[in-house]
Amino acid sequence: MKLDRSLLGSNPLAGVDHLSSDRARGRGGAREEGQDLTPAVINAALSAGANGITYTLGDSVDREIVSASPKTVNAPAGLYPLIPDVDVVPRVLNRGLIATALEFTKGLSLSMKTRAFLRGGISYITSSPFTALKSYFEIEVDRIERRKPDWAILRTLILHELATDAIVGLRASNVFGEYCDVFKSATNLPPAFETRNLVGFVHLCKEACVDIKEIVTMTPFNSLGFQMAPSGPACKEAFHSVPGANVIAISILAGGRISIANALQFLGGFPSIKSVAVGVSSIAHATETFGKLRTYWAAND
Amino acid sequence: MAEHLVGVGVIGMGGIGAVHAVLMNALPGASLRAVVDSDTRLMGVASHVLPNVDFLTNYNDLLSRDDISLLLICTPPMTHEHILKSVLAKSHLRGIFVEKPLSTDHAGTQRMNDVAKSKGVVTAVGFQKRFNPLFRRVKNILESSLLGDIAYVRASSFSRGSLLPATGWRGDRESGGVLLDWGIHAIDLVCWLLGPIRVMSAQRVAHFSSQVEDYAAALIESPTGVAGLIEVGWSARNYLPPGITVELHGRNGMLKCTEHELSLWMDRRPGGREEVTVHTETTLAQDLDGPVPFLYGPVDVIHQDEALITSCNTGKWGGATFEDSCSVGQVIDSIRAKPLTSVRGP
Repeated sequence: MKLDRSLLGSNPLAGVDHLSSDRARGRGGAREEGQDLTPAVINAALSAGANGITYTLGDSVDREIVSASPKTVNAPAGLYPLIPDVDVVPRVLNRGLIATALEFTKGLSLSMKTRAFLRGGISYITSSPFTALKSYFEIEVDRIERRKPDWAILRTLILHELATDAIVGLRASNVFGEYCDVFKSATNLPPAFETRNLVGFVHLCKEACVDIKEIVTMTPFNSLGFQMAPSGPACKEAFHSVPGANVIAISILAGGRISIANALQFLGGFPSIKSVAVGVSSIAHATETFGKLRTYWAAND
Repeated sequence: MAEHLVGVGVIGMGGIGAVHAVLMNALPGASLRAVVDSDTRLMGVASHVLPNVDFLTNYNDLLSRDDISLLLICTPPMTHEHILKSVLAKSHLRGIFVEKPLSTDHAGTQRMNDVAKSKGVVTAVGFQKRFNPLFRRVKNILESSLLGDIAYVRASSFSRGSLLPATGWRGDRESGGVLLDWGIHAIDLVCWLLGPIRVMSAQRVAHFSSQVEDYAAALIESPTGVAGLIEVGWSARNYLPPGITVELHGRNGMLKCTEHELSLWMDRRPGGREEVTVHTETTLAQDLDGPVPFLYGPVDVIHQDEALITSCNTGKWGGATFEDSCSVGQVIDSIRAKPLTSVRGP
C-alpha cells in the first residue's frame, strides 16, 4: 500500500490540545481550523520534502490547497482528507446525528441529490444507513477529484477519530467491518481511520476480521505517551503486535514538548511507521521540519 | 474482590449524550446497557448497527430494569425535572447524573434537589470543568492562600458556536441562551472556587438571536467580598475552539487559568525592599494529567465519567451535586432577570 512519507497536517478540530489556539488568541490572532494551511506554507512544505497533506475537509481548506502552486513536486502529493467535513463535528455535538445528516443532504448540489435519491432517498439514511454511506463516499470522492489541483492525488478518506473511537468504544465490530466493505466498494481506496485508542482499535480489527494491513491507521505516537490511550507503553505493545500495519504517526511532537530531532530519534525505533504527519504554522517552520523529515526518511528507507 | 460492573443507561442521544454513551461502554468498571431517545429515526439506525445495546424510545421502559444502576439524563433542560421524578421511582439506582443545566430556572433546580435528597441517591450535575486538572490546581492554590487575600476575579466562557440565530430549545426564551448553555461553566467555576456569588449588576445582549442572549456580563461579589466580572458568549469569532478562562488577583500574586494552561505571577520582595518583582511560572494541563483508559471527547468529561462510575461503588461523588446547581441557578436567574438588549440589523 502506498503511503506518502511526510504529510503536512492541519490539526483536526478535536483530539488535539488547543493550547496553540489559546496562545494565538493571547497574541491577538486567531488560529482557526485550516488557517495554517496557507498556499505559502503548503508550497514551502512540499518544496522542503513533504509529499502529502492531511486536513479536515472544508471549503476554506480546499481553497487553500487549490491555490497552492508548489514549484518542486517530483511526484503527485497525496491527499489524506479527514471526514466528515470540519463543520459537521460541532453540529453533531449541538444538534445530533440525524439533524446533521439531514443538513448535509440539504447542502448537496442538485445532481448529487439526484444520485442520493436514486439510491433510495433520504429515508435510506435511517433505514439503510450503509447504503446512504456508500452514496456519501461516492459524492465526497467525486467532489475532491473535481476540485483537487493537478499536482495532488487522493489516497484515501480518513474517518475522524470522533467516529472511529465511537465505534471502538461501543465495540461495534459489525459496523466497523461493514464500513470497510462499503468504503472499498464505493471508492477503490483503502479505508482509513484516525484513532486515539490504538489498543482498542487493534482489538476491534481482530474482532471484525479486518486485516489491519489492508487499512490505514492514523494515530498519535510519541515518546511521552501524549494522546495515546490507555498509555504509551500499551500502544507501543499493540503496535508491535501488528507488524505490517500501515500507520501514519501524528502528535509526534507531543503538543510541542518534544523537538523534531528527538521525535525522529524515537520513531527510528519503530521501522514499521510508514508515514508521519506534522502541523506547521509558518514557512520557516515548514522548511525546517520537512527538511529534517526528508533527511530522516532518506536514512531510514 | 472483583469490582461490580456498573450497568448504565443514557437518556438523550443528541450530542453530549452520545459522548457519555461511548465513554460509559469503554471506561473500566461500567457497561452501557440501554440508551433512550425519542427520535425514532435515530433509534432505528442505532439498533440496526449496534445490536448489543438496547435502544428505546420511551424512558419509562427503563424503569423496570434492574440491570441499570447509573442513569445519565442528557436531554434538553426543560425535560429534566419530569424525567427525574419518574426515574427516582427506581429505588435501586445508585447514581443519577443530569447534564447541565439541571433545570431552566432556580425554582426547578431547587425542586429537583429536594426530591433527590429525599431518596438518598448520589446525584451529579455535568459541570465537568471541575474535573479539569488545571482548575483543580487553582482550587488547591486558593485553599493554600498562596495568592493572599483575593481582591477580584475575572471569568469568561466564550465559543463560536454559531453566528446565526440560536434555534430549537437553545433559541427558546425559557430554555435557551448562552447562560444556560456554555456560559454556565464559568459561573459554576467561580461559585466552586469562591462560594455562592451574588449578582450586583448584569447585562444581556442578543447579537444574532431574537429571544435569547448571545452574550451576557455580570458584576458579582463572593461571600467574602471578592469582586468580579463574568462574561459569557457563544458568538465570539475568535473562539474556535471554545475557551474558558479564570483570573484571580490576590494580595501576593495572580493567576490566569484556561483549560490548557495555568500561569502564575507571584510577587517577590527581595530582602523586604519596596521594589516588587514578579516571578512567573506556567503549568500545562498535559503536565498534570496522567493517562486515561479511553480517549474520547474532552478530557474533563472523561475524568467526570470515571468519577461517576467510582461513585456508584463507593457512594462518594467529588463533582458538582444538585445542591451546587442551586447556587448556579440563582446567579443565572439574577442575570436573566435583566432585560434583553437586541443588537441586530444589517
